[in-house]
Amino acid sequence: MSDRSQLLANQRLRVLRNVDGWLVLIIAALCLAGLLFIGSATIDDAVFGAQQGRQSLFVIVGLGVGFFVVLPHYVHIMRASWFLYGVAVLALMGLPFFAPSINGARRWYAFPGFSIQPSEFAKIAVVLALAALLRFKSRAKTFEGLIVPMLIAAVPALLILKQPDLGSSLVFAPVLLAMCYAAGASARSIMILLAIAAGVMVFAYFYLLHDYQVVRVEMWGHHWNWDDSNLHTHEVREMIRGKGFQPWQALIAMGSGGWSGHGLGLGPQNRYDFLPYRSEDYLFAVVGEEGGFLGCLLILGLIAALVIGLINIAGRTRERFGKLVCVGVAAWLGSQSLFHVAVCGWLIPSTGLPLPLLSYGGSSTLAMLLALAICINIGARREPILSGDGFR
Amino acid sequence: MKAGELLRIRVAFGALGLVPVFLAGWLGWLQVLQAGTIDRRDGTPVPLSAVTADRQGWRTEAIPAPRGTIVDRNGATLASDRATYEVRASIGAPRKVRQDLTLFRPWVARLVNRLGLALVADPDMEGRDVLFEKHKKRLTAAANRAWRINELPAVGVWPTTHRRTADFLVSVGVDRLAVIHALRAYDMSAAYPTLSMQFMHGFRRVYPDRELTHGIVGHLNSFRTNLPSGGVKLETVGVVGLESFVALEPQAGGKRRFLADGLSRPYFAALVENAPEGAVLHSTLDLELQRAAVRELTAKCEEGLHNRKGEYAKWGALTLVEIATGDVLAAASWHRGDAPAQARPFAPYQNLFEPGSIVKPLVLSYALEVGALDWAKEYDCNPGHATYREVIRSLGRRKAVRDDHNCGLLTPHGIIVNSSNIGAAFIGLQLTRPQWQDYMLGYGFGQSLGLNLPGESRGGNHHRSFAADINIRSFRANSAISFSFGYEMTATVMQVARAYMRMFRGLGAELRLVKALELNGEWCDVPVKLDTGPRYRPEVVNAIREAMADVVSNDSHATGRFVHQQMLKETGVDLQGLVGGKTGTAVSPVRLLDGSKATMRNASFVGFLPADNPRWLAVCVLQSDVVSRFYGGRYAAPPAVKLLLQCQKQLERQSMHQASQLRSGGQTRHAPSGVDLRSPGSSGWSASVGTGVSRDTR
Repeated sequence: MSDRSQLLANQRLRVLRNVDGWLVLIIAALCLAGLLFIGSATIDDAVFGAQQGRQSLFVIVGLGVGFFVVLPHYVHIMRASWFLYGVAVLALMGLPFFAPSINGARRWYAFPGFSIQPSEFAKIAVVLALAALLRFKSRAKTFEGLIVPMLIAAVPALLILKQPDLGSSLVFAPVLLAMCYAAGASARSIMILLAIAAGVMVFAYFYLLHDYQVVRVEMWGHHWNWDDSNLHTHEVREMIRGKGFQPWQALIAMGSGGWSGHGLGLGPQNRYDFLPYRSEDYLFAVVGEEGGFLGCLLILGLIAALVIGLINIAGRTRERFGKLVCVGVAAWLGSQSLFHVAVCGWLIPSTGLPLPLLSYGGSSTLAMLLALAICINIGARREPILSGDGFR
Repeated sequence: MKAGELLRIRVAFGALGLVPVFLAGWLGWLQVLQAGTIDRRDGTPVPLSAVTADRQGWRTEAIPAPRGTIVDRNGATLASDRATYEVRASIGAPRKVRQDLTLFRPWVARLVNRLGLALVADPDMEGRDVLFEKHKKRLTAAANRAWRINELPAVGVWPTTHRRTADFLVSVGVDRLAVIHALRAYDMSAAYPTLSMQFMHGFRRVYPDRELTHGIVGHLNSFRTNLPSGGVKLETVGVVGLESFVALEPQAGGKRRFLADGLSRPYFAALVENAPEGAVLHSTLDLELQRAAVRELTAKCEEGLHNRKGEYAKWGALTLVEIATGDVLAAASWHRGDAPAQARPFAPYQNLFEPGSIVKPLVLSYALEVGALDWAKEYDCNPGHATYREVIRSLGRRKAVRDDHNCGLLTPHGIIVNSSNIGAAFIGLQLTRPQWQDYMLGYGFGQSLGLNLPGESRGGNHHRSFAADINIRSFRANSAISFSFGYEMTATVMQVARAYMRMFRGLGAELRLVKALELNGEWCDVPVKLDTGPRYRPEVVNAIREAMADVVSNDSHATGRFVHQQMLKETGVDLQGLVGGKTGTAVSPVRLLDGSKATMRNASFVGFLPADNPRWLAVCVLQSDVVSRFYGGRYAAPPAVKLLLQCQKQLERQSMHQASQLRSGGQTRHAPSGVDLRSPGSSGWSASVGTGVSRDTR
């Protein structure tokens, strides 16, 4: 090995000394908690019994890949941003043609032994692309400058909405807003963005959403009128047995947890299969039922600590790309977590979103661990601003 | 970072941070402050507690309640409800076989093979090979249906629209521990991570000694009935034997509660709740004596199958009664042919026969009691003498009365010993028509036994025998003479046993098949009808008893000489003075179901032991349609006598056992003072629990 190569290798390894240990610890704790609750949610299950083992594998692979993502300078990632974005959009565009239909949706590319959900990797690609675009200060100053970033987020969001996967497509909105605001967009521009987002949502409700998604929204609106006296009426019972089954069971699970919950694996809603897909879209309901209020606070606290940790990295990073990536990942992590929790409590209409790092899902876990590894990489660099627009 | 940029980030995420704060507050309100309820509006709060979660997991399902238990007089189980499991499997096709469908069918075949093996895991199971093949065939069909295997391509990957998980019934009525363990092992096996089994609790009626008790304990039949509401209900009723007793019918359908999952699949069968406790019916049967009765009767009935003469019976019946209580200790039934046991009638209770000479002691006892008979008088039983011509032939009877041999002068004692038909006819002619009616009524011929068993045959005299338009001369010439030696009438074995019991105990005595009933922990005795109805004078009973004791002797004219000699030769037991009895042989033309006529020969025997103080009474009848010389002393007496001797052996054994316990001072239930263990009415069981001592029924 030449002296130059040796020097580079040593420099890369030296980065590890600057890694934020607390952040790694929080990530590990969340992954561990996820494995525990996935195990509890799938124990003795004929179909999903192997999920805990598979999730362990995903976490190990994610951490392993993440380790290698931390080593090279993130400038290489910045340079690959648009390429990655292009690949992600192409992958999303190919889904209707190449992905098999599972439960009425085409979200996964099936390979022997595993499958890939491109929408999860599209999130990180959008964050990287937006950061690469918005790192130029002039871009966010005017509303016109935000049109391209909006398009960058909207294209994959619409492709994901078409799968259909309403939950994942919604995550792009807070990510876009947070990154634009952090990049220096004016309050006026943000308000216009919010208004556009609201308009799109109204339009989507009437013209883009599928029938079952509309029913979910109507059911959500209806359930606020339920009480113990009308719970046994035919109309409500039909709803509970039908489209309202999943969120209603999740609400019971959350409500029955009390202070400290039933204990791991002992929640009746979980144990007796009243919660479909509880290891994925309703994992927080299992946390609420078996861990109770304290368990919920612990998980929310860990996620909040992780988000704060990312914001701190963003705060101390002077280079704009790295800063915006951290903001984007924090917004993605925080908003997706909050959506998931709100869905489990039926505070918003039910939609399928995994709880980052905790819910079962290879693509979701790998994408989030990769994004966090990039943020850790950024946090370990503390690069000086070499020019006005960052790296050249 | 510039201060402005940092401020922007903090403002953005500060605003975002309000959301988790709100969520945490909402969770605290929901889970802690509201303690599991949620107040959506002004109405009653919606409970979201653990109770709600648990409550919706419970399902209640009606099941047949346990019928209860039938035990013999020593507490041995004759019929009971055995806990069983209905096993259902939920199996997801593993990813490996879904990705390569060429692997799927062999995988299903292996799975079915292993489940089939688990279902025959008990090495004590009979015909395991056949059962295994049967289970395999059924499980293969079930798996094919559940997975719709015929719609799957042979190669390639699993179609995404095809269901992956199959739910099917593995087996019903699984009650063997080895099988349950084997199935549970597969349920927990790492080799089948996608396999999950549910075990549903239920009951199955079991009869530990089915072959011995088929007729008397009976069986159940299940059938579907249409409900007025339009549904269909599966009803199970006892159709034969003790099983038909109303007390065993569940008062209300039982219920089982089990946890069901969100898809209403049962998960765990909870204990039965609110199901009425099954009654415990304490029968009078003695399983050991029943075993002996079945063994002896079967051996005798099948004897002819193995000899050159082909002398075998068409059916046989043997019953054993304790005279003091009327308790039926054993009742065996045998039928020729391959018909299933459930389709065969219970001969001691349902098969009628012309009793023949075994009623002669009854006729003579009645005549002696009513003063129509002088016990010391001699009757000229020679068919060629003037007495026969003047008394019998002069009546114009078409069919001659005959004896096996010329008996000459006989006293009533001798008439019984020699079983003289002519002598019996002389005595029968002493009775008037009302007296014959009284005789039939007193001994219960033609009347129900009152045991409340279904399908009872009552028999009795011919319906024209006592018709008012039959003149007295005709009655005397035909009916009175025929009745004297047991013709023109039919009876069941149990009716004959009751008639003899009445002779010894009084005309109100009845047989008893149930000693007591335990219902919801309460003990209800079925009372013994003691000293009911008119009783014959002791000298009458003693005279008949002594005559019957001489029947089973070495006397050259005694009709029970054969069994006396046989037992002496086989077992060394001298029956003279030990066993009393009366043989009977009757030849009856009967019309068969297909309209043809056949001649049936009935060999019958009534015996009691001990001869000097009768305690047990056995009645045996064998009917044959192929043997010409089918005598009661040769065919019916040996099984009955052997059964009586078995009673004596059992009593001796019990006495020795109790005596040894008393000597050793061990824990035992002492018989109260004054109870003679060998006296009638003090059976082994009653002595062991202590007569007159209150019993703890629990």
